[in-house]
Amino acid sequence: MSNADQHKNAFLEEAYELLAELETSLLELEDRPDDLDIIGRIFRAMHTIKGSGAMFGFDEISAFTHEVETVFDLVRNGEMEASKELINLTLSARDHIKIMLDSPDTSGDHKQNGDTIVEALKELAPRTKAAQEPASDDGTQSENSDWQSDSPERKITYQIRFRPSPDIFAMGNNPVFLLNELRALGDCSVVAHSEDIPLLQEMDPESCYVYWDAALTTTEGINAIKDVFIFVADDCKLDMHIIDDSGGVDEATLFDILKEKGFITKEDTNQLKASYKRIGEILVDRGDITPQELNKVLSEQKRIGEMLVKAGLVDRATIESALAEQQRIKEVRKISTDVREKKGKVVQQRQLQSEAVSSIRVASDKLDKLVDLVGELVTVQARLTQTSSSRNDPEMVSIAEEVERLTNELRDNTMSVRMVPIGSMFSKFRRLVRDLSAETGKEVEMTTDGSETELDKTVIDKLNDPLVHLIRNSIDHGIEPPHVREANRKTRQGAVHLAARHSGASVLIEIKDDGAGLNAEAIRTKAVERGLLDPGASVSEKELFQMILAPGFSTAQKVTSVSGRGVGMDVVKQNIEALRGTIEINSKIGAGTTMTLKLPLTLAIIDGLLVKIGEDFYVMPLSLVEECVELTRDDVARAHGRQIANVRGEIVPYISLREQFNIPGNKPDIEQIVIVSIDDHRVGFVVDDVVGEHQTVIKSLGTFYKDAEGLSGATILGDGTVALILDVPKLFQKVEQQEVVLATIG
Amino acid sequence: MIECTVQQSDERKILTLEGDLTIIHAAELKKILLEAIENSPHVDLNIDKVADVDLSCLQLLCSAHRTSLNLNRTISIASNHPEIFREALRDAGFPLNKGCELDPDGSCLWIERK
Repeated sequence: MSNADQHKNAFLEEAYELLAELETSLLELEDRPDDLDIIGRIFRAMHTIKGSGAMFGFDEISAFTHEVETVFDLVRNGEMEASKELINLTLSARDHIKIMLDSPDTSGDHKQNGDTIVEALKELAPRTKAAQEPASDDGTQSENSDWQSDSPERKITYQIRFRPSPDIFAMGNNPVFLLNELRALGDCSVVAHSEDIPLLQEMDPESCYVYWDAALTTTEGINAIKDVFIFVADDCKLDMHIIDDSGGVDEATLFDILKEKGFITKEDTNQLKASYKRIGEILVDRGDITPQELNKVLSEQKRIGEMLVKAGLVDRATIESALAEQQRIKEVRKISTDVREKKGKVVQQRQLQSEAVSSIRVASDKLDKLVDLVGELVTVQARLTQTSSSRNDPEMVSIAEEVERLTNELRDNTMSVRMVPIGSMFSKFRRLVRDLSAETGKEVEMTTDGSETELDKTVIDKLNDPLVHLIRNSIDHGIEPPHVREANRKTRQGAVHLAARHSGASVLIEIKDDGAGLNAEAIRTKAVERGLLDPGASVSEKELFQMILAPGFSTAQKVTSVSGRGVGMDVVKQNIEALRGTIEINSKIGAGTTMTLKLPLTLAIIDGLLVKIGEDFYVMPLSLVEECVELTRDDVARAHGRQIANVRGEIVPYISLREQFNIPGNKPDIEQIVIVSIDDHRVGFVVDDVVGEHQTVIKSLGTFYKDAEGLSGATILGDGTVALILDVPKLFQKVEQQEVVLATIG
Repeated sequence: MIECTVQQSDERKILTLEGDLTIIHAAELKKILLEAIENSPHVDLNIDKVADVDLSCLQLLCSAHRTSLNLNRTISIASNHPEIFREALRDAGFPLNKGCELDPDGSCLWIERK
């Protein structure tokens, strides 16, 4: 991968994260539209996407984000409120950016969509502003608020001194890019100060010795300037002030006031401005004089007011009144600057806080490799332990034990690196719930619990689709429309609750709604219709509910864009089973449904029970195993050919793995039954011998064996032999089906 | 990689620089310049074939000028600045027609001498 690609990928990764944050923040903003902190976060996310987008050649993304950012700048400056409309638009803008990120090559195709969003945003901006203005009670105030904002027509000239830290190059920043960004804000002249550049002998070639003075005339606010330096803010000295005229008053503002009051015309202003300001600027531009020299000359110049009086355009009193007004404007502006500075400090503090928890970004395939290696190590360590104990050398045994301890620690640590809190996924669903409720016309509130629960990253990634499906089902089929809910004496607003918690080596994820609940009778009718159930069969409610997971099963009266097509629940089940998880459904009609997913903590290494049949070894997931009991020849004889065992008075059916796998050879006199729990049933699996607990590194069987039913993988034992890992629930299902077929024939 | 060829006569040295004068090669450029200045009373730089130049190397050239003044030697750029150079100077905000306060005799490298 070339360097440029690497940077691009890093950008993409970062951009996706920022988009996720943008979404969360926007949804938060909906609840608390006045929270400056959230607005700041949204703005920063967009600003970073824009900035780094431009840096890595995603110009379209950058240009589009710029438009959205501009509108949000108004919100940040309190000139526009974060209305529902704005949040909706910004959310669709976020989606649009995502589309552009997903397929950068075809981003041109989506241009129209983007333009529509920008148009809508632009339309929203002035209207909101106009709506705000009449709110002020008298004319003066309204004028003031106008001054306070950096209104688009108002040009302000800033003097900016930018002195970067010497190691700015080493931090990957190029100050010249920042200067160019500054130039893009308006009319800007930049002069470099090179006097600090030392002699070659004393020079560190990788340090920056230059600093800059810039004079920028812009209609953008001071925030826009600060944003240019946002990434180097902590490592540079930045002085900014508005260039006032020689009388200590902002010249541009003074002109504006006089013009507004009708004392001078636009031409007069231009003439006066041109008479001294332009030449000075030109000279500085050409480098004939330094800004310092210009300032010195300017300071000796007559006050602008005096010039106007002298030119006979206004009288002294008019100037005085304009000055008084100007003074007030300055005060107002100072207050607003103070507020912004305070805001800025809060932002800085936040950045510092986030820096304190230092972290690095690692590509997940590197982690996968690490886990693979640890897996190999665990295997070798098992071999070492076995070999050392057979050698009967105490020193060797103690070394092997030490290695075992370290390996286990290493394994746990590596696994924990891959663990990510499920909360990031939960917050993604907030958007889903919001959009779905809008689409279905229902009112739904989503609450979450246990978002700090950690799960293996791969599991989380694969969990997304099934959870989306389950939540969709809850909202589309579960939660009733507001009028129905009210008629049923429920709150108008339905609730969907997502919860995650640890339970042993598993994580339980619960999706709970307070909707209509599942109709057991409807399911039964449908199941009979589909031939999944005998008309007279007696099954528990729980078993009936499991039927909705069967392929092609849907009791929805009509198909909506959201769900009801009957494809999905079976796919959900498949996905969850592929993760070695299970689904449990509980429901009460009228009160709601709870779906509980039980998932293993990690996919790569499991605790297994090693068993032996003939010469072959097999591993059963320890989490399913309840107990092991003996099966003697007498027991078999007592059962009269039926494969059931009596365990402390309880009848437990069993499956002989030797028969299932057609393993030749003689059974031992005393066999072992491993009793496991599958869907609340206790089922036994008969093996020759139970070897014991075994740390199992799961290896996939490869495509050649992908159709082998009842096996979920393989593992390598200490002596190098391969043991197959049994997919116990699948095996049980397979045997159950065989029995049904036999019974039908019989 | 900076490619550097030297044509040396008794009084002057023509130093032709090619390639990227960028931060990656800044240390290399420093060495080249220092060596050239220390070994010749006049260094003439030929930068016509420079592919890229950034602020770090502009600084170095500025420093080279200062260093040669300090040693009572001279350094100059042989021909007009190539466009890439002019652009880099403009972007970095260096005035193109007047040297700084440390340039009493107007020999600043940034000034083009037609």
